[in-house]
Amino acid sequence: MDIQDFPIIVEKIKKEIAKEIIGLKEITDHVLIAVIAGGNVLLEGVPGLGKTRLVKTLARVLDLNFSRIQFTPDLMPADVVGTNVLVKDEQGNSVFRFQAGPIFSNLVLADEINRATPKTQSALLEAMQEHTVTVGGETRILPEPNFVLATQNPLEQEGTYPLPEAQLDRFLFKLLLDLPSLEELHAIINLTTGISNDTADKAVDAAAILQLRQLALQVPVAKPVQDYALRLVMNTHPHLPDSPEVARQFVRCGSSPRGAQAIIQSAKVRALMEGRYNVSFDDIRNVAYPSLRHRVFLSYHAVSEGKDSDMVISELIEATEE
Amino acid sequence: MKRTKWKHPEWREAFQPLWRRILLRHMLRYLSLGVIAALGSVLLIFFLSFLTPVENLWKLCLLTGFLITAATAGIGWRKRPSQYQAARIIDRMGLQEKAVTAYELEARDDPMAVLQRQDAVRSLSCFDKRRISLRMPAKHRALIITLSMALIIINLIPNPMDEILKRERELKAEIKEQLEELKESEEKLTAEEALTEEQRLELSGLLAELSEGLKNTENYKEALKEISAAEEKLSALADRIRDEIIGRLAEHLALADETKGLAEALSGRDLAGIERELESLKSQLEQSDKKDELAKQLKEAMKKAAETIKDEEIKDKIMAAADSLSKDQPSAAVDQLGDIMNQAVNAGNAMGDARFTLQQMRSRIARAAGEAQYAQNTGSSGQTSQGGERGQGTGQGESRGQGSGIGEGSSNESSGGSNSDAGGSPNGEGGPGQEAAEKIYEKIYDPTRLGDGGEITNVPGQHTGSGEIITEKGERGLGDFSGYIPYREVYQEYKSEAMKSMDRRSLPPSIQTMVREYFEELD
Repeated sequence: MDIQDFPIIVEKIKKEIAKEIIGLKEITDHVLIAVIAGGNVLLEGVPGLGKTRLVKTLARVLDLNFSRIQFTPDLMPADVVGTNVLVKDEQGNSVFRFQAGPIFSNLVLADEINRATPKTQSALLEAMQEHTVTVGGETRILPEPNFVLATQNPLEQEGTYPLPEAQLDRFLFKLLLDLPSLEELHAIINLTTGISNDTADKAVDAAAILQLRQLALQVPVAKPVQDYALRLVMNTHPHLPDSPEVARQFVRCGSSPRGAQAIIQSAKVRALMEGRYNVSFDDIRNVAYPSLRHRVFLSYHAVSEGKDSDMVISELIEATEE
Repeated sequence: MKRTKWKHPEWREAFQPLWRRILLRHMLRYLSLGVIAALGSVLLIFFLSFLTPVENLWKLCLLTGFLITAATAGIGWRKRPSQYQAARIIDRMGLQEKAVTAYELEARDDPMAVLQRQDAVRSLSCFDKRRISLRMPAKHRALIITLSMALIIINLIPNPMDEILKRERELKAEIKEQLEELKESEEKLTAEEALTEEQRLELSGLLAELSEGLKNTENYKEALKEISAAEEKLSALADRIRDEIIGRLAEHLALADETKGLAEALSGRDLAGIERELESLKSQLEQSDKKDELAKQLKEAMKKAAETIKDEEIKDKIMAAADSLSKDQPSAAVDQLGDIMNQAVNAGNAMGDARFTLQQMRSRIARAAGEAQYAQNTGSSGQTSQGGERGQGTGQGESRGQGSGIGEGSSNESSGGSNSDAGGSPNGEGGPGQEAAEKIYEKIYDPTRLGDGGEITNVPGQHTGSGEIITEKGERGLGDFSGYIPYREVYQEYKSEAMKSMDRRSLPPSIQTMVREYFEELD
């Protein structure tokens, strides 16, 4: 694959997704960035906004194995990663054979992830970060590309288990889904309540995704741009001597270095999607929100002031000079 | 981050013109900053010129403005953007960090670097150079206009310091003129025959020192002080010359009993006594039995005195008198001796001319400075310190100033208005010497009163009031000092002039008080 084809391919993917997903343009873009960058995505939104549909469509367009795990409080880790089951072999001997869980797919939809117990949630940790699963002392590699697209409902908090910081940090992006506009809603209704032959088709395959990822890794980042991204991440820490006032006031805990990795990694993909061969400050700013919003933990003061993560990140961006 | 070589010509061709334009814009901005700073400084100087006199204001402003602008331009050049910074500046104009990335990747030739460079070159080639505006920033324009307007306005306001500066300039011109005159006077004075070579050298050195001092003076006060100091030295020199001649003459005359009295009168500068003794000597030489022996003794004393006196003119006269005695012409010899005495008493008159020159200088400089009062002040203090050399009275009628002389048929205190004592009556009615000495005034040289003879008022010891005022019609005496008039007379005029002057001029109140106090103290 030629690097000049990168934006063309991405455009093709987006076009196919747009056949089934109305609106959510920015969400789609960010999901694609995460997919190409090889990161996991946490989608947060009220039910019915098309989160599951988006993931399913994405799986079809990217021609990836797709599995969906509906997280419930009684879901066990083995239900996610798989387990060894006793089976008879050809000679009639009883042997343990690994029964792969739904995680062994290219694209895993972890629906309502915050409903599962922390034990089950943590079963995803290794898979998300290392792309491997260890069961019965044996480590198994997950198929590549491998992504976890988790969803969570921000409204229903009863009977949920908020994701621990360590697990949140393993998501490349946290995307917030908003209600569609009236026009979008019209289009959604027309699409879903009528007969439509225009369904999303395969645009690329898994191998192409991996190639796109390799190309994205080559995108150069100028020193001032990288410096800007890193300073932005550093500025999320309230206890550092040079941290801005907004961080001191509203941030309880800043981003880990994974936040910086996420920003640079995803900014490279965005640059290529824009047809550029270098990362710009705009790329950094664009991906800073989904990369940092689940890594910046707000203080009680921020909550009492009605600030959300995006507001604080916006102020942090303003406080960081190019 | 500086680059010395361009590896990729296509990148250089795309980037360099923009870099140059950025450099030009940077320099123009610093230049406009320099102009702002220069205008600000000039404005400040103008403001200060209202508080203190500033010489060559415009030159100073131009120089300051030029230096500040040049310095700012220099700083601008030192802080000129590097290629790296220029790339960042271009990127900020919408190139999305293509330029800075290409700059960083210039050494690389991998496909991604090549693609990125091509992309950057394409973007730079499409970049409109005019977006790098060379126009002066609006803030700078507004500041320049504001400062210029302020400068024009401040120029329209009359500056009270201009008058002071004008006077200072006049003073400097006057000092310069006086220096030239001093040079001329120096030549004349040093050519004076009455002076010995040693004295000539001393006088010349003194005037040269004054000349140098005047050149280095910053203001009129210093100039006047220099002149006063020179006057003191001059007086000391004149005293020395006079004392030397009188001393030697008196020493030899004292050897004979008949001329001892004459020697004493001469030593004491007792003009009346000298006259008396001369008359006595004349009669002895003409009528005494021992007239031949006396004439011989006198002749010998005169010859010996002539040998020791350096003043050639006096020496010749002594020899002529001795010759007259040899020719048995005692009357002529005594007359010649009288002349010699007169000359001895007036020895150092050449210094008087120099002092006259200095007084003139002081007066003109003071006038130029518009501070005649100060000139009077320093002048009078200078004169007071000069001791009695100027005919300063002691209340005892003693007069030993250079203006003294033996007038023909007139008393020594009033002859020609030149040789009288302004400080006290010759009759000794002025009061105790010590008390009188505190209020002793000398005669002041007043060029406006130059003339011969005239009515002279002698004021006896002022404070006791016991002395009478003698007014006589004077005649011209031997000394040519008819321009000298009593201090008191001049003082009153000066005082009244000063008071009038204060009403006319815008003198600061503190100075007015000082002037009033000064005259009150004198009263």
